[in-house]
Amino acid sequence: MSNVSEASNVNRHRRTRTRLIAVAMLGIVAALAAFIVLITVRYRDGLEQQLRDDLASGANALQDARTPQELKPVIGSLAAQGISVDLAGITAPGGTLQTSGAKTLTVREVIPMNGTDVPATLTGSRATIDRQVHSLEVTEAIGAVIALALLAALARVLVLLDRAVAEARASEAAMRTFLADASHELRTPIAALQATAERLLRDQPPRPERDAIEAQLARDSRRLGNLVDDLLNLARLDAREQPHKEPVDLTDLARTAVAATRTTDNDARLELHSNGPVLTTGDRDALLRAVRNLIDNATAVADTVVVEATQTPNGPTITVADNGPGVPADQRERIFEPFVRLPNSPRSGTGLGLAIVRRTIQSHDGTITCESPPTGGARFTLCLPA
Amino acid sequence: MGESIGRVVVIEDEQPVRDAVLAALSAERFAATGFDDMPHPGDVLAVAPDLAILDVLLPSGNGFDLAKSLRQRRELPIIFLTARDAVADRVAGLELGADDYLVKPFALEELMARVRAVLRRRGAIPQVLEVEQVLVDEEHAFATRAGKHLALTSTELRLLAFLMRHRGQALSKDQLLTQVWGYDAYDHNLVEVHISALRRKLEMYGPRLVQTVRGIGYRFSP
Repeated sequence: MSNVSEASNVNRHRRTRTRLIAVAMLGIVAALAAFIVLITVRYRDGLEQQLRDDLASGANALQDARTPQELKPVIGSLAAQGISVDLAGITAPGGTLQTSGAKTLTVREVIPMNGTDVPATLTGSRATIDRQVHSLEVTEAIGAVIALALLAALARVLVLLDRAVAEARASEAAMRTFLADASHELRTPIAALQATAERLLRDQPPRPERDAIEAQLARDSRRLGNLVDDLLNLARLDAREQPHKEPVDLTDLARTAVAATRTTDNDARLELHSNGPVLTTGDRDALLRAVRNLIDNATAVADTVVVEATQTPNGPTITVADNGPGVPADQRERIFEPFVRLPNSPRSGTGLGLAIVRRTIQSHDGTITCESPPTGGARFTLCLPA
Repeated sequence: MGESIGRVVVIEDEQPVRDAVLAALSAERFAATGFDDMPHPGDVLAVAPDLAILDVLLPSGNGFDLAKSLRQRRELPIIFLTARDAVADRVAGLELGADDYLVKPFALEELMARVRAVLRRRGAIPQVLEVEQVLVDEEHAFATRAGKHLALTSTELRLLAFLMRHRGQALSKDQLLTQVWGYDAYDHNLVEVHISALRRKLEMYGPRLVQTVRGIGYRFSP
């Protein structure tokens, strides 16, 4: 049932994200349109200013001319720039004085010619400006279409990506369901096997020869159960079940781990060193299992084990140090792999303990290191984020 | 073998597990009743149990639901057995106010220890074990004989408590190893060493209580 609600949750989140993508795209389109309008207006303003400057410098050129002969080429070159000149007394008076209109821009000037002041009107056409702005608009339209196509493609990719992520999540959810089912299916017959072996073993009166066999049967089913536990724990870590986030005090965690080990194995000398709380966040149960795995490994090969929780410059840290035979340099990476055992190590474990420790610490964004000086002993350091 | 010290209901569809749990409860002087599927809550309460051991997944229902309807009728300590160990299941069990839960496969002695702990907490069975003037308080790791303190190690204390709970029964070394030491212990010598230490401490204040049963093992009896 939790998986169904998980799936519908995933879908609801996905619809929300699709809506978000659509809103973002609309925003980008609006910004693009505003940008295009702004560019066009500024371009037209620039061209207008250019025309004004041309008219002003044309008027100056006319003023500089002293004779009609000098005037003619000036008027010719102005005509080439698209500026018509209406010079009273020289051109036809039909060229009426024009004010600035929608289509034209006009400058009036008085030109001293042979001792008389002659009024002159310079008229520039806005047709060129309109043409140039229009051509900009065409370019902009093409650009906008390309940009819209790109945006549409981007939106589609985002939606597809989101769907792929949602599917990956769903498949992780399916994996978790599978693991829960597998856990149940495997544990049920092992529980029956172990309970039966123990029941036979507890029968009265005891029969020592048979008891030894039944004890072995019970031990082996127990080992099988531990193996299932560890395999499923490892598989869960691989299925990236999100570690539960809660405040964890590593000092308290170390104390709990040491106490739990003391109740099951009172032969080992276990020392706990700590001063004050060492805080981190994470899944307390998973971290406790990791620390217990390290302590179990240490007590199996050493007679003194020191567990310490400290705040170091690298972050909250737990170390488990022992005086056992140590770990050869070439094995210090390998021992974290599943089913890798050191020669001479006890066979009682599942061979998965350190692999679980490593994946647990990785899923908490922490680090684990193993040091072992030539003088013997091993020291495992778990470093977690603050 | 004397009167029962409490009544326990076991609701578990897997017959080997149910039978083993019932046998272990009887051996510890509990009156035990088994059900192989979702019983009617009334049928469970009819036996006036002090505690219920409930499997979570039953053929025709869910142990959590049964727990809810039992609890609606009366306060009843519950220990869940579950073959599902996912975090969500554990949380569901504890939210229902389970007194404890155990993930399958489990050691019978572990279940018995939890049964005793829950019933002790609820005051249904005495806090201490007392036979022949020997008194053992497992929770506080404390033992006396005839009022005099016995300096026992934690293993000796567990061994003594186990022998006393099974008083009058002969127990083989393998039985003691698996029930007292757990599953990594193979060595009969371990039992002999601890028995002799226990005897030495016990016999400072009275006659021998841990008897040798030739060819078999040991028995707690005067």
